[in-house]
Amino acid sequence: MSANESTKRLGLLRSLLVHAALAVVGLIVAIPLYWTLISSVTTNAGIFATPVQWIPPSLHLENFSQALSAAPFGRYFFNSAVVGVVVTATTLVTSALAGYGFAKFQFPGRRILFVVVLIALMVPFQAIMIPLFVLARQLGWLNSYAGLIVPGAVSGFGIFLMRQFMSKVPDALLEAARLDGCNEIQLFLRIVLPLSRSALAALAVLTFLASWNNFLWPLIVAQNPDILTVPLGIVQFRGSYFTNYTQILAVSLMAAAPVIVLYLVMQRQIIETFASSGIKG
Amino acid sequence: MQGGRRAGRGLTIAQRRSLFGLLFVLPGVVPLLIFVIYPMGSALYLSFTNWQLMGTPQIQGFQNYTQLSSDLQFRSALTVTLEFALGTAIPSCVLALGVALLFNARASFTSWYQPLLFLPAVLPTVVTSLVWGILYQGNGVINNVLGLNVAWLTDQSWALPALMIMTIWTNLGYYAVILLAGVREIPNDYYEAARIDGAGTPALIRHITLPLVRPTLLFVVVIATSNALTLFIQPYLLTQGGPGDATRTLSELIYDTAFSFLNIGKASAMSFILLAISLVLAFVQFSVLQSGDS
Repeated sequence: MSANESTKRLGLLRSLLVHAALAVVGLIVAIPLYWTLISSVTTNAGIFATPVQWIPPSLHLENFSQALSAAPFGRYFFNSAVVGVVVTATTLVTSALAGYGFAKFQFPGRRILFVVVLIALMVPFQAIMIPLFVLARQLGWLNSYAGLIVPGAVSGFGIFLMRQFMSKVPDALLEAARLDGCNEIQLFLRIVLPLSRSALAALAVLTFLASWNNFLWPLIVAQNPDILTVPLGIVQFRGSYFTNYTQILAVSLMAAAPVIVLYLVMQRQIIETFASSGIKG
Repeated sequence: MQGGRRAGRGLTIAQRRSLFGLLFVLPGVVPLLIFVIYPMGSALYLSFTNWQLMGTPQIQGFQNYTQLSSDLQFRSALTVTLEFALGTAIPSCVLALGVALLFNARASFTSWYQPLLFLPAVLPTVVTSLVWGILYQGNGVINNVLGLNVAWLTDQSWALPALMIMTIWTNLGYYAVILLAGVREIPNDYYEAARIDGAGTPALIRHITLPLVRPTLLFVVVIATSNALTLFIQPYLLTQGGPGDATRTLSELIYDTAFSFLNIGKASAMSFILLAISLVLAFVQFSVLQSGDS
């Protein structure tokens, strides 16, 4: 056996070991997800069967329809969608504008205003939730879309992200466009925005995900059943049907479905933005 | 001079530009002033008052803070939060570094496993919490598979570790991706040189990878710690902070104090302490990032 062949074999062996190790980790992560999927279509007895039923003996798709008719989930999904779409839109617009302003303009107060953005980026929501609740109450925003939407309509993270990205747009390009007679608004709309499309797409997905998954602020600001978002609706449902595990899992899956679809489509951008910023949602 | 040229309405071009800059940033910054900066000041003010949400807050100086210094529940919450931070950060770092090294060893596998490992981090926390809540039941899948009979969420000594395990499961892929970026930044020449000197893989990891990836590891520890400080949904949904105060984290205690017991002053004082700790952590985080850049 030549030396070349034996290193090749060693390489193959190592590949196998790496694969095996990753498969073990992958399995540990995948099992709870797979279990959720099958348990949403089994029976409450099936969930706790010994030995564990890894393949459901029969499919109970009616878990979904029964859960949907037991609580106004249509309403919850509508509320979450409205809040998510509006928050994403306002975040994109304000982040793009402010990111551009901070990246490419000199003006008095620029440093201190950017410190405001950095603080907003760092402050955990839990540290300001009480005054925000008091403020929302004073403004009469409890149990309203305004209460759910407005306090989160602008994101320090979004502004920071767009500033980082737009700093990379070459100044020479902007100057050339100005010399060609572009005014500042045209410059922003026709040159800066199209160049920032990938960053805006990543920001849009992250913002929508964070809004869709948000629990604490809706919990504080919304009690009225008409205004509940999906995560609150699920928790409320669990409160009334505590032992109806299959239906809890069925609505949980439905709540996760839009997230999973977005993730599958935008996976690369989501992972890259998370990894580079160290900020999740 | 271009800067001195007049361009309509008596403004120089430079002045016009700085006006535009200001106009671009204000729609973003003004809401942040109202919904972040003002509440920070407001939290500080409320922390000096006694208020039950009715009437006007009564100013009482540092009383909330002095009471907190001897408040057993608050101390317990700080301890639980710290335990949770360390108990998730250290195992997460070890496991995530392992996964990152595996990814790095065979880059072609990354595209298979990375999407799967990362998925739990993007799912709604309410969903993952409810799923684990059912898995953790006495007759649930975890006890069933492992042949155990542990009261995961209701046993004083198991409840916090149970929350740690599900948090590690949630964030493992997320931390691995961050660490992988750090591992990949290490120049290949270092490994080549060491290999020529006869170093094997374990020696390479110990003497090259580990020391050079340390800033990224610290970064992950900081993120895991801030996650612990804001941990709320899992204890709120699965243990209500119990049994006893075994899983009552700082954030959970703030929520309870404010919205169950309506003790706004005391809750605000705790919020402000949370804010101070977070700002210190953020400062460390930025310094780590900065040192990584240069």
